[in-house]
Amino acid sequence: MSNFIERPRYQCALGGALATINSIKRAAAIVHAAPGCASSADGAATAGSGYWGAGYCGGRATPSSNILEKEIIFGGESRLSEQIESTLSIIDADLFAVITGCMTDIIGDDVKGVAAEFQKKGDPVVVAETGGFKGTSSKGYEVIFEALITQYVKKGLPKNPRLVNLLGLIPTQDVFWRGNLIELKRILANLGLEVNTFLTPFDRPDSLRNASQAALTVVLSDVHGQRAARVFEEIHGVPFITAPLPIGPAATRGFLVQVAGRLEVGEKALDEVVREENSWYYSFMENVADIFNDLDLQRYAVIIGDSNYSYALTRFIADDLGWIPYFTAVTDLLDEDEQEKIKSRFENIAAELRPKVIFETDTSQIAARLKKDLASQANPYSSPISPAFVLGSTLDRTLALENKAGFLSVTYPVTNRLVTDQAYAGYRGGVRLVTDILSVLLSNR
Amino acid sequence: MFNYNRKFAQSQGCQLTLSLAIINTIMNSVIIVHGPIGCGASLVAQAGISKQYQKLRDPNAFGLRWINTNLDEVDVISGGEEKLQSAILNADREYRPSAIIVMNSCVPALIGDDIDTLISELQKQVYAKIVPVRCEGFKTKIQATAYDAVYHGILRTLVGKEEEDEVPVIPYELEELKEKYQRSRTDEEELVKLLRMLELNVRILPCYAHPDDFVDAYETALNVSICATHDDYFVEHMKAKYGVPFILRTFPIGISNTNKWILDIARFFGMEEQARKLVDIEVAALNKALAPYREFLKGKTAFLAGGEIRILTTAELLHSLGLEILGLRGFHFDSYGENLLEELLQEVPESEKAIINIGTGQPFEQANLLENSSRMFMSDTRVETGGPINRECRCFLYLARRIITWVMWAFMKWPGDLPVL
Repeated sequence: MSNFIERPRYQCALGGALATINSIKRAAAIVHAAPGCASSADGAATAGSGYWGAGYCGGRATPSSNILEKEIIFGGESRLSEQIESTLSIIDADLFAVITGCMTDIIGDDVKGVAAEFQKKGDPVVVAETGGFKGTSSKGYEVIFEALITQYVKKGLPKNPRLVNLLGLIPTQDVFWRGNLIELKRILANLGLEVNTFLTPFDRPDSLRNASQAALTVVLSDVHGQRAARVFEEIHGVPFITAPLPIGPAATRGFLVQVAGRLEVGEKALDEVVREENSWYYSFMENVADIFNDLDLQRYAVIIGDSNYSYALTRFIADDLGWIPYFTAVTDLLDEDEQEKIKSRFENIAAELRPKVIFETDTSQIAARLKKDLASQANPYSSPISPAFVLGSTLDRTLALENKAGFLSVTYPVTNRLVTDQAYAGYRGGVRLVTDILSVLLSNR
Repeated sequence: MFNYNRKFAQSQGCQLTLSLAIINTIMNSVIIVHGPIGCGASLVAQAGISKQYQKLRDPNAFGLRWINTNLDEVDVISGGEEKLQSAILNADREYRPSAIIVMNSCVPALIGDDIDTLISELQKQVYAKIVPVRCEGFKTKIQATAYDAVYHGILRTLVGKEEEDEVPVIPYELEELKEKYQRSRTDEEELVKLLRMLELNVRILPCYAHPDDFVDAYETALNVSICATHDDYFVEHMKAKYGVPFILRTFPIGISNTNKWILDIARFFGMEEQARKLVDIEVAALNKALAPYREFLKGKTAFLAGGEIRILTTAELLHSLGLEILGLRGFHFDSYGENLLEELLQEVPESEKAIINIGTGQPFEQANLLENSSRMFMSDTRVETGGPINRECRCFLYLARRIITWVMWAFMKWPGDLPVL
């Protein structure tokens, strides 16, 4: 049985699906739920992701059936039908996604049947049951992608051997999803590949519509997007690989080698791209080294984040930044298999640099478990993490303060900074992350 | 004619989200959102800042703590009471708060979790007072019902001392003031200052109050609300149960309504003369300071959206600054709004021409109103003040200053010869 969660770092399935749809330009959600569901989910998404903002028809502008007691007793199907019809006539979009909340899933509205009436007429409507009790944002991302892949992506298109789909970054749950996708697309383009990122402001529903042409899906996560990738494979014959979110030159090189290995990318082209990108990264780092050494900016790192970032940040800290990761908390709700997958990722990090890894969903328990660990190492002359630096969410600021640690918010929720095109993935993302981390240490000078 | 049902609707706040906005200010408490993982997820928006806001009132404040009971598919079938029980026991053991506030969401209401029995059983075992708030989103489209839900929970669990059978009212001693808006310490200070000038003692409930502050709330001589939407349930209950009289007429925004507010209170305590002097001095100083702005704002037009009490009082303020009110859009409308509308029509007869529309949220409907008004098309000086006023401005001098600042920004020019406020 699952348990309660203290200060959770994710939303419900509806929230994940809504953020996904809202990040597709010219797509609109039609939420079939109680009045507060969509605006609450959007509030969590937008505030927690460094103030993404509501856009054309997100936030309180999200079309929603706002069902009340009457619909719960008598059924909400006719209200949904009315809302779909009015939304199609009022909202200017190319793709409409009917997604549901807990109430309509529990009362058993036949939303697929209602949507089918519109689909038959040729309206670009997809439908997914995303009641919040079905899981977290991650579940919502999977379910809406599954709906898009089965109901919207064209079948039987010829394959393009150079086209790649990227999955696994949940909008807003990955606070930097836009920047990260744009950076990974840039690097892969240098390898001569075309990339479908789907969820940046520069993507259009068309790329999704034709995504079955792809030769490969790359899932940037051991957990998120796995099911969607499998559905792509089953329905459209697009195989997939899992390549965890790469941050910095070490991980990104591994990522490129892995992707290139599955596609027709020559070794020479790969080496050339890696050489150029490394040169770009180290052109900046060479100079950063001065202040890094002069001020002795070495720290022990405490890393708190979802299954994507906990590993990605730890690896970057260990392999590129040259700090010592001491303690990593993975905050997702995971089953045992998923936990094993994440654990085995950490074995890629050299044993002497491998942090203690815990799986913990409760914010105050993360602090308590770190405290307990530190107490067990108590030594009147030193602390095992002094001086420390915390990479986590805004919720972890108190933990950082208690440990007199520097603090940078990277993982959801991030409410103490504005996030726009920043990326932490890839080579340029690595430079950005070094810049942001060290800037914290310099900010009082 | 009135049309109550929309064919096209947009999402809006629900009872739970608004209830959380009030409850997340209560000091030294833990919130338990009993529902699926997404309910209350928007609390992350307050998580980073709540500690600083609480610290304005108590330097040792911890900030926002909440637990979600994470109801999943299994719980929908077999019930969520066990999870709620373990969350309550955990909150009490881990944090030793003064209050544990249980927010009941749609799912437990629909599947029939018996939270009353559970809470009354657990109350015997835990130190904290457990406050149940029934704020299920599907129950109403009027988001403001949340205020009643929150007060119902507070009144039944936090107010009153069990051992006393007599109600000790201390006349002329205590004045109680309801502060609607969470963040404005500045407004609190302004209103308290005005009442202190009348030598009244003031206590502020419910936002940023400690759970213990409610215990003897009935000992007050008078309850004064600054917003009927917010407080009618509380003051009516206090009157019915404890005989505490109340004043609920208007919101102290702008000169006219702030005067009414002060004079109503003073009349109750028999200090009208003293209050008139205070009002005269404040108003004279204010009018002098406002003169150059009035000159600039004369003939500009405004469209107001927000809570019914707030927009009607703000309309009077803007009118007194020289603006013409083209439209009023309330989240809802009830008898309190009717009374204020009548007062506004008496004071500003030309308000009759203003468009009136009611809707919680529904931003496209609002855009349509602005778009379809030919008068507004012709005007190059329209301003929609709902957003910033809702978030920031509060009362009298402070509010006047803020509103003028926004209005001036809205017109995108700040005359060089006017001082920056």
